[in-house]
Amino acid sequence: MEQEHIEIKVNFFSYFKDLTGCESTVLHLGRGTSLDQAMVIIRQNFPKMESMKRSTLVAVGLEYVDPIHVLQVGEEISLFPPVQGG
Amino acid sequence: MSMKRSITLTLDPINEASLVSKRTISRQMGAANYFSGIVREGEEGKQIEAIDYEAFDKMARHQFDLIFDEIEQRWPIESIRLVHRTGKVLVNESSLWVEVVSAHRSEAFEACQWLIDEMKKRVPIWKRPIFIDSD
Repeated sequence: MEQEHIEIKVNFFSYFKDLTGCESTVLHLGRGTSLDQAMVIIRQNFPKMESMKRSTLVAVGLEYVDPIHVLQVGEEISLFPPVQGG
Repeated sequence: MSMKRSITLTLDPINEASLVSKRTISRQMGAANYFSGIVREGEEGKQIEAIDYEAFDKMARHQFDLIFDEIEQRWPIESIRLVHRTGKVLVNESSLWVEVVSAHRSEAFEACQWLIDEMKKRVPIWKRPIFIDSD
């Protein structure tokens, strides 16, 4: 029988690790949860991330995806500030 | 023939002379464009001694690959080699080295500029300045 909940790992990079106090966490989400719904939960769990809302980049796996992306078993979310390579 | 590509993320200092000496270029090519990004001493109005670069390694490599895919579609480029430092990079050291090889200079210049512009939008690398006299 399919589980009703899935585990999604969330990774934080750069100073988001300082804001959240951790490099990663695990969310237990209902099956069918979208990325933007997961982001609401992340900001509830880590209130300091709310102030970074406008400057947060989000990836699922190795890709930037639409907020309506429905999260799948085994996927990982990564949150980070605007990139600064070079 | 598909564009040759090389992406290196490294903690080691970039040896630009060594990289150039290892250039492989076909006889039809007429341009090799180079860019080197150097850490400068001023950041946020203060003096720094270095920049500490952090990368989401796997995603950075993947995003560079996607950028290279787009370059291959847009310009006739024979090869691109890119090296980006991670970890602590001192002032005056190179944090980024890029080589773009093509038949003519216009596409080499354009592709190199576009590559760096896109990198600064999408590739997950961040920098933390290490200020002089910081703890």
